[in-house]
Amino acid sequence: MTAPTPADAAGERTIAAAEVQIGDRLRSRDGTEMTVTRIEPFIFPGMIAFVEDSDTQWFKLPAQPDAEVTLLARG
Amino acid sequence: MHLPQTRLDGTPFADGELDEKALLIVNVASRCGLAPQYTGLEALQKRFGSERFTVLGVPCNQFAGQEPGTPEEIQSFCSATYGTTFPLAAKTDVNGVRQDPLYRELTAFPDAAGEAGEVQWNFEKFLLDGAHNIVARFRPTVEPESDEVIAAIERVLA
Repeated sequence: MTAPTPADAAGERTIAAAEVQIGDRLRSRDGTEMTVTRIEPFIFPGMIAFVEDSDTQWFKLPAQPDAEVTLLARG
Repeated sequence: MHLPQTRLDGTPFADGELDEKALLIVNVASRCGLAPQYTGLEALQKRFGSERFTVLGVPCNQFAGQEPGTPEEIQSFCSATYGTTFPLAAKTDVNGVRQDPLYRELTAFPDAAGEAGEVQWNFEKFLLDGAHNIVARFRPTVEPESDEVIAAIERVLA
């Protein structure tokens, strides 16, 4: 378990990708914000992909399980 | 088949530019780790491009936001970095509620493993024959110049 670390005063924090849950709100490195509706294996072995498939957008963000991702809000 | 009507620069495709040609349709993204596949795609265009075949790039920003640029930036990147000569369509959603009608048709077609559905990532490839029937689907990690892609193109052009 990776301990959450503060990212800024707005309550953002970074967590390990492996700890992301359905419903979490993330921000990708390009600045896109997404709400995770699905977590699946990525096309490259050992990686996972977060998908938002909603009426708002369809967006996929892959990550290594131990990589840090920016969590904006818990689902 | 709902082929793209508009080029990346906003101008319409010319009459006959796509009609009756076999097409290799590829969703592309400049910042993707697979962007070197542009080299292979351009090699296919050089080898097979004619009145009967063209590669068609479809920029898409739905995969990690790896195609964020303006049309000018995307075109410049492709031309300057990889010397591409094949046409690019306007930026397109390939999955989801705003999925382009073209991709609604393409994604219903299965890959070699029998799996249809969403485009997995940048540089997924769909081969259409001259009547624009979908004949093959290649996932992103299949290299453009792989034996299976070349054989499929040769079959539709035979």
